[in-house]
Amino acid sequence: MGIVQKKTVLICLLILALSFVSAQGNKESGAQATTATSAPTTAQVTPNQKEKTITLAMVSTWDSIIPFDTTSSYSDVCCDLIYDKLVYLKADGTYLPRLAESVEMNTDSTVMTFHLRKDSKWSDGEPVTAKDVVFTAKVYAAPSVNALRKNNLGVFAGFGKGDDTLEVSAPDNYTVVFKLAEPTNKDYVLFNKSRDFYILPEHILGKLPLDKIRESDYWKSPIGSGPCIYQSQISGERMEFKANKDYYLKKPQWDKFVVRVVPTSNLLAGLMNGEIDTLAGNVASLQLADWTMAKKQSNLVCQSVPSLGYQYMAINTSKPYLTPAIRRIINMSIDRKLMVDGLLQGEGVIAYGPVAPNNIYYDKEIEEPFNPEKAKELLKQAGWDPNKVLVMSVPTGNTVREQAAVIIQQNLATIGIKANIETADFATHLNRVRKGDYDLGFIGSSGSPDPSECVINFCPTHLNNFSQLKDWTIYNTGDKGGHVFAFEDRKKCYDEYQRLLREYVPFAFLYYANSLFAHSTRVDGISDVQDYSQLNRDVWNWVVK
Amino acid sequence: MTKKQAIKGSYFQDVKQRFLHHKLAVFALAFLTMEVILVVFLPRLMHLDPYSLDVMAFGAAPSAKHLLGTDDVGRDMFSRLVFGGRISLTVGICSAIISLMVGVPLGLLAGYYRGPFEMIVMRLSDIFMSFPSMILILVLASVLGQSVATITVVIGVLGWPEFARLIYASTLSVREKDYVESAKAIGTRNGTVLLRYILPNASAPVIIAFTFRTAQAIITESSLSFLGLGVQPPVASWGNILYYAQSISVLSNKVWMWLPAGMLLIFTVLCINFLGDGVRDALDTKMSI
Amino acid sequence: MGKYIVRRIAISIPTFLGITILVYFLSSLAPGSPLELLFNDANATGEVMKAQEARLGLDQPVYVQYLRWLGQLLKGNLGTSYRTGLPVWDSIAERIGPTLLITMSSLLLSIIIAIPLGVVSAYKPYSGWDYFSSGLSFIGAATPNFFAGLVLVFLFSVKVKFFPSSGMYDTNIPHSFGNMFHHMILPTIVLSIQQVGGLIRQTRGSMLEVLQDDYVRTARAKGCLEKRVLFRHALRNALAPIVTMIGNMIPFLVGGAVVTEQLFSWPGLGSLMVLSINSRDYPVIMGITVFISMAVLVGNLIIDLLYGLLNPRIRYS
Repeated sequence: MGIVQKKTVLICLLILALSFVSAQGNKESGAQATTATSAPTTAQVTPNQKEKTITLAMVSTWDSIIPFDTTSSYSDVCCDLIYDKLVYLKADGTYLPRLAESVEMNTDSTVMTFHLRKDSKWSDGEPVTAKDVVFTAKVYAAPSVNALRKNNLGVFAGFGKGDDTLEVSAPDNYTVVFKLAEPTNKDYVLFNKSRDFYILPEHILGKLPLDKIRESDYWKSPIGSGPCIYQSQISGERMEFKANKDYYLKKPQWDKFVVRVVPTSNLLAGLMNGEIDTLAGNVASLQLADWTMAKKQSNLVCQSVPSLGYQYMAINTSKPYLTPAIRRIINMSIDRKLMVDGLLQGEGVIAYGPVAPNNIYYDKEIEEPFNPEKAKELLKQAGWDPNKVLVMSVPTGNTVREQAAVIIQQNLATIGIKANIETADFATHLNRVRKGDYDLGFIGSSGSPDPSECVINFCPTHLNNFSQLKDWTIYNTGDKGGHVFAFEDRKKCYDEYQRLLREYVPFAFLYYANSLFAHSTRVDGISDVQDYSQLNRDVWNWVVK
Repeated sequence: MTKKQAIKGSYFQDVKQRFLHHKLAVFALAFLTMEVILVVFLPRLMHLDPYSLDVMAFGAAPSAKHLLGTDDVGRDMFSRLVFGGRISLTVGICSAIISLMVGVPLGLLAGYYRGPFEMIVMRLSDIFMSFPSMILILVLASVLGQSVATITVVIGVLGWPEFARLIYASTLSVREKDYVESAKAIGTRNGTVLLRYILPNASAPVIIAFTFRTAQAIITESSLSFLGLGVQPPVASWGNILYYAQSISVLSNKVWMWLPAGMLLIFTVLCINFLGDGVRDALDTKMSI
Repeated sequence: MGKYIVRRIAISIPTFLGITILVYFLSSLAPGSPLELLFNDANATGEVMKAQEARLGLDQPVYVQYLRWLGQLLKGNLGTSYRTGLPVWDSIAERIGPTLLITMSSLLLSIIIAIPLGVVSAYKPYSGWDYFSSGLSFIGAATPNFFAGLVLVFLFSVKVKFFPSSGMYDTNIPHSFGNMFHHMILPTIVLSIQQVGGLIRQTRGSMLEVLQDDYVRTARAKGCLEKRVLFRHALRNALAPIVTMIGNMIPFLVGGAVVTEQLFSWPGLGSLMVLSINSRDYPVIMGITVFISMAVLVGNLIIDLLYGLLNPRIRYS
């Protein structure tokens, strides 16, 4: 075969490959054209009036935008734009009306009534009514659906027995009544259970059999009643939305909204370049190394936002050598101040318990001051075997947490306890910690304004009983707080709960790291960033200058 | 001196002379030797400690106490650089050796004997090449623990197809050459043909590949660190030191944190390549001195 | 030759099965089930997880799950992702295009730069050109790609705002090919940097060897133009190891740009693989494996046939 033929073969292969690639490219843009609700000619015609676009960045991709089938905060960023929720939760424990104009609890806290607005509409024009809320509750709770977020509705009566047994009703078109399984605190329900409750359209999804609801084509281009209307997505890279100009709370002063996935290392570059307008808040933080430079940029507004989320070290209580006394010694030997001042460079607060220091339920009594000398003494008295090596399981993915582990390792070495750090990816680590295959394990929590947020982790039968507790005391004390109503009664419960935590130390709480937030000066109206941790963002208040 | 000894002696002397002619390779050999000596002996001589935290100095700039400053948790960067050198060099060389020792025999035999043996080896190399390496790394890391040994074994085990295929291709060409045919005609045993005729002549691409493989292994380790799967802190490696360059401000303002590791990495890889070049030239019988 | 191809395809089937079995069983050894992460929510309970396990068939022993998966594969169904609930084929199909785009472009770029440079280096060893191309190749091979990416972003995206720092398109204008091309340049260059070094060295090395062969001397003695000697006689024979090297890069073409894809938010197959492994999403892991193995098997077949084209002495019976 001559060289001419050889070249022809090679050229043909190349052409094949390139045509395959361009076919893929066409397929992708073609798919976008069918899902876009705007006219297909916008691609060729230059818009004569500049479309106002806001670009939001988060560091990892969503997994699904089926709201009841995801537990990822990244998915929640997108769902909160498409769908509406009952109330807007604020980080200080209060809430603002959203779909529900008002929420009432009856005197014995067994019946919760939501009064809905009358002017909310689906993006196909249909009005949002109580029927939609009742339907959504049914879908979330139904055993045939087996939603991942099913258990949110466990507080309501009739839950779990069948598809139609949940005790929720709509006495009229704009009122929804939920019956609670037992007397429960209103805030507890709103903050812990309604946070992920996205209203679904009954007039579209109601026709489908419940067990086939996930297979509907509706999810390819969902119709919601939130501040944005879904347009298109490039899987794993971006999701594009159009503003819902009929949103009842406020008409958005922008036209297009884009959620982009950008790795942490590129966030600052994107902000400086103008490619990103704002970070997502709790699921996108600038790294500490970039913070000083970010603050110097004239086109950025930077804010170190106190966060409800905290990091802690779970201690395996089922290991015979990790007695309560030893756990208290470990707790005493941790230099939390060094973590906050040195590692976090002051952008954070020490965590002694799962309730933040500025929370009204905080109990100052529980603070365990850093005392390595006393710890050393007590350790000797306890007869600790100096040759014992503890296993510290550290998940990768959070640099500050990994470094905190190193600090704790050094702290323990100073008082005479040897520890070995074993890193693993998050899935492996979670598996080990749930199984109890560790001594000290590092976990983070996104926290909540409600003090009961961490209580479930001390329930011996729960999946996340990381510290392998067998005793129900801590859980029962904490759980009581969710079923009493006056502030003084709740405070008493949670005080006792926090003190029990200090005495038994199933978790050694470490720090609350601030969220290092920044947005471009091009966008106004971004305030109260700490509320974004409650999985809602008031994008309707944002204005493009 | 017998005739055999005379021939053997002069071959290696030729090789040595050709190598010494390649100035860059000589320099590279010297640099690498010095580097190895430093990473082995310096820690003991200077009492270097890459693990303990200096709580007074998180992220400090170079000073008398910390020659290259400290990292975010107060560990001495100079110590970490030297200890990191140990790890990176070990991972690089050992994994390349593993790949070589597995790949070359397999490729030789496949190319020479052909037939079913060729099919098996080539299909095996297909399996390894299309094997998503991340899975192997993840599983081995979780079963054996994320350690230097695990990374070395994984990078080594995944690298043999490259060697096998290279030497297979060369063997295919060389075995058709006349001198091989004549060797077989005079009744030389297959083993001797392989070792003395085919291997030396087919080995040049493999030597170049070995140097690249070593360099690549060092780079792969650092990429794995970026993904969180490589050598993990507190153990230091040049790769996981460079991990901290993932920030524009560190890149521009805290040059001491990444530049030494980066420079050493590049220099080491450069020298390994020059060395490989020199060895290849030295072994090439047709090159004039 | 036709019989050879048929035989190769026949042998490929057990290879393919071997890969899938190995990957499936190895993945199942990784600690942590896919549900582990989905149920990371405070309100999750054990019984919802068990119900989900039954629904997805995860409560069966591993070999049963494998056979079930294989059965579906033979029907052309790659299954449904555990993480997203969407069909695996859709997830892969929308990611192949972006990956192939940057990997093939980078390979093309590398070949265009490397082969001429390698030939010139071999032709004039130890000259200025030789040192330049050697230097380029060494520095390229010595730089970790995430590091190269970071530096390039810093220089060309932050310092001088020529190129975007991440993503496939700009957000404020309609998507267009030109815009995507603009976004594609930095990732392609980063990928090329790594490949070009090896290719230059291999070309140079092979050419150096071949240029000492007798037929080259004959061609020159015959009075052939130097260009003809170099490209028509020498290069053709030097191509075997170079083609092997390119052949070795085939798995890279479909799944190797992992780090670059992560860095530039380029939604390709590599980043999908990382995501799936971290969430233990077996159907997608298996789907990508199937895809990569088929690409490798076909690619290697083509490369092996090319050996025959390049060197008529290699016969395929």
